[in-house]
Amino acid sequence: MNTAANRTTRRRAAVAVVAVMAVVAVFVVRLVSIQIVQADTLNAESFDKLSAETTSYGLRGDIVDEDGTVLATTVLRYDVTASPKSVTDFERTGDDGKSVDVTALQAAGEVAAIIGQTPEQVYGILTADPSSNHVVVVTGIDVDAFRAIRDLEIPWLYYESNPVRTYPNGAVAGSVVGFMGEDPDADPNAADPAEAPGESEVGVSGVEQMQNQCLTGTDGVETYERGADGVAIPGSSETVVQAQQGGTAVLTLDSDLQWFSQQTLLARIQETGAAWGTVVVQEVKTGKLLAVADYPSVDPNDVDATPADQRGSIAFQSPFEPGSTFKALTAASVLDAGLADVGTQVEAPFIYTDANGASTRDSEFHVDPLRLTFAGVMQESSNTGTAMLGELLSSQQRYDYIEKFHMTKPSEVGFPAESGGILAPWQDWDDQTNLTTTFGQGVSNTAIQIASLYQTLGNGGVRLPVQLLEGCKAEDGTMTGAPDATGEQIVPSTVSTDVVNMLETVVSGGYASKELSIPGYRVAAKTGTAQMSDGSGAYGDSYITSVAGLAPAEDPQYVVSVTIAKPVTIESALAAAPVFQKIMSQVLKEKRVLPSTVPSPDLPTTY
Amino acid sequence: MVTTPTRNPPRSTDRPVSDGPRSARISLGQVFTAESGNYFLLLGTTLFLVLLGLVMVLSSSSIDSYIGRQGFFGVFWKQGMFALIGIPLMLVISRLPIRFFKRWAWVAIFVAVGVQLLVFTPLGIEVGGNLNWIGIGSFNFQPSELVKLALVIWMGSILAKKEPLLGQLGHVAIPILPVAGGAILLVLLGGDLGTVMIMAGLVFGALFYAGIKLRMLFLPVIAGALIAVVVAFSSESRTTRIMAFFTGSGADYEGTDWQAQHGLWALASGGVFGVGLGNSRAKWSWLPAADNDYIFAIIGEELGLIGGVVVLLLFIALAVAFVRIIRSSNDMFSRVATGAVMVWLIGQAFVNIAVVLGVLPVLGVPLPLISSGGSALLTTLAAIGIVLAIARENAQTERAGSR
Repeated sequence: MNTAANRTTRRRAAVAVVAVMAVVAVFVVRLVSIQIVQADTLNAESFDKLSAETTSYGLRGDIVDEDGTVLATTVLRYDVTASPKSVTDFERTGDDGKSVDVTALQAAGEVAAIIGQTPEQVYGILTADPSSNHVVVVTGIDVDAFRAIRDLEIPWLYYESNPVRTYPNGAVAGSVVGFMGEDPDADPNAADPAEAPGESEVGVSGVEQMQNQCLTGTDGVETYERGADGVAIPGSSETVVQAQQGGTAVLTLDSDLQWFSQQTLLARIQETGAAWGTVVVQEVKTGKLLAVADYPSVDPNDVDATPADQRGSIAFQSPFEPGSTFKALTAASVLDAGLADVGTQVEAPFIYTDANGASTRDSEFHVDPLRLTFAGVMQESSNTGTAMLGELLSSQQRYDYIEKFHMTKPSEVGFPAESGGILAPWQDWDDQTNLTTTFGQGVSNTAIQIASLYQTLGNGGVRLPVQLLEGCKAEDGTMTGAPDATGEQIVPSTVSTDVVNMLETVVSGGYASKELSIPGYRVAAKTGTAQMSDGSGAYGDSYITSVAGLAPAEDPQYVVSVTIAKPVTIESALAAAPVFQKIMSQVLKEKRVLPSTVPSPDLPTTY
Repeated sequence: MVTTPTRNPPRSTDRPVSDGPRSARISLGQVFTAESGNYFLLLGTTLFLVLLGLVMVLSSSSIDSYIGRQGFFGVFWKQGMFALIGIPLMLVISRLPIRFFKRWAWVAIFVAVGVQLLVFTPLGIEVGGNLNWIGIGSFNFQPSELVKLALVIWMGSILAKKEPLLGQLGHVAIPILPVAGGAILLVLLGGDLGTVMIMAGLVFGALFYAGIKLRMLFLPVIAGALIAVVVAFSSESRTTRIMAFFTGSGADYEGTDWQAQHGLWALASGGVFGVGLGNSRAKWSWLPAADNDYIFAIIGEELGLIGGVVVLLLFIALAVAFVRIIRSSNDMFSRVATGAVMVWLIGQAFVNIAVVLGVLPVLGVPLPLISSGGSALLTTLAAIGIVLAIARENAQTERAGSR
């Protein structure tokens, strides 16, 4: 080998080394530029393309009764969609590792079997427009059906979950629990058309509406990185905004008692051909509502089945003229004012005309005036007697007492569209109203207000705020929004005890004694049969029959107030009395109240 | 004469040979001789690159492989199998004497060109607009890889034979222009411009290290470059790809720019230390050739700037090994063959990396020793086997010379 050639080789080898070094230097500069200098810019650029956002649902909270029975809850329901463009036969690998070819028709058949359609129906949906990219196969299937379909591993099916409100106990407390609907405050123009119906719903009735803020969850946002085919890359998901689950609204209701009340009311309304009715059960010592039954009532699972004007809660929202159950308030007022006592004697005529010329009559004709004590007036439910005793007080005094008993304002529950009753200021009372308000005509109250009146009388004159809600329980178990339970002394306990004793005579000796008595317990109750306004200012010939009462009378624990409107077969309080009896018996039994041992005072009713 | 069992009969005149019946010497030849540093530098770097390649092929192919119903390891097992064949093949070739290559040079080039011709038969398969594949059953391979290997041997042998006449243009041009030029033309007809560029570089590298005067190389280089430009713009797909490169990124995100853009994004997300082995996002169907032409992007993403620089250093080490072998060579075949292999492998690696880094437009050449691809790995390892054989014989010559 000659040296010149050798030198050329060495020189050319050196060229190679220099060239390689130069190229690598360029590459390193370029790498540093891409991976360090421009990295942030490039990463920001790619973020939109490589990442995707997903909503993590903050589900609406449950509504539960006092012992946790779920009355309303939110579940996930699934929609199955397909891409008809890519509907093809495909290969399925079984558990044994073997691949089986599945035709599109077979796949359609498998799906159809799960969702209860025919293979032809499903195949028809899939093939209706083969150029389409999106078709809905089925909506709202539950998690079992969703899993079954997903396990078929059909590559061209897609799934979407939606939260759906459901009411496991159906119509039990339906009118109280309420239901969901379109947000009436939402700007219709702002609505996202892509949003599935239901996602923008809010509570529009009952507790759903009342506790909407407590129940509403906040949706969270998660981002994840995805493959070009849209698959989420494992381990890449990141929570941007934590989803907040809605709180649980805990009610004071006892769903068993609620169901029993609704059933008993419904049966009696059907028996008597009545138009509507309510039952309210309240705990005397706490003010908590244990049952609020309405008929008609809405099934929140099927709101449309009930006419729009019958979807609310009558007990909270519809005041009516209570009639004789109101006489307890008049009695308490007169006794509190010291103008009479339980033994005060009254000669009650059939027809009584007062100094203003206003007149009223008893419900049963009698020739001779009845010689009644105050207790007897209650027992006989004498309108004339009550009016005579009531008019011992001035109109203003009586109005003040009615107001003092909270009969002119809505209860503390704050139920949506809750009524506070109807009563004109005393200055506006005409002579007839001035007279009839003593026995519950010319004044309207809700069933809740009546129950609260009896709670006050049963609780030694201390009125407790009406409670429907224990509170709002957050995810971590903390309870907020528990209502105030501070009582208010309306009348002294001596007065309230006297009234309860007088009411006991109604059960022990009144015309509905048999229908109201509960063996083993002393019961204090008052019946009512009020004429209903015919809507034109005059009274028609239909009645609202009612019973409100307490048991056990010596130490009242529970109030039951029953109202049945427009009964056809029986037009007296006897329509409502059996309902009172059954429900009060059930309450005493379920709550294990000990039978009465103290004898009844047996107030004299006549002289 | 007593018959002596010899495992390796003496074949070189400069070796001491046992003479006389009394000295019954068993010659073990070079079986147990220690190899030179160059040999181990090249072998070590190669094995490191192959192993790194296998790891990165597993990482980058697993998702696409799974989606393609081959399981997460489908592509990896295939590549591993080729590595298991290729490495012993390389070691076997490294034991062959240089005479062997010279003897089979013409056969090699004819066979390779013959196989390349099969591309134009129904056996040919078009991949990405390039007719450069042959499919036999489920086995696909690129005959142009075989042509590269044959060109290495043939260029070495023909230039060694012509050594005294290399000053004359006619003697250089006559066998090389028709044979090498013809082989390259065949690949060009298939439309694979990237491979053609590598092969042209290989031929010029051979001529360069043969010591051909630069003025004789000047015209062919200009001519080659002109042809390349004409061919580059002859196909619409290439024109748009090249135009995408010059108009800058984001010009046609969904189309021609997709691959380059996602390659850059992959590198950028890697940063200095990388996202960690196996954590690439780009391999989730974003990069169409994640385990192949764009595997360097995945390396940069998973192993970061550090991983990328390590790969560059490995190719420098490879280049250094080649250069040292060239410098220690005393015969024309060794210099030419080693130079050709160096330009082939290092050149191809740099073109590949330049494409990923956005320095060159997308050309579609894989990263030697690292990218997945069975026929490419086999021929690359075979080529390195030839250089190893050269390094081995150089060392023996040196030992003999210094004796």
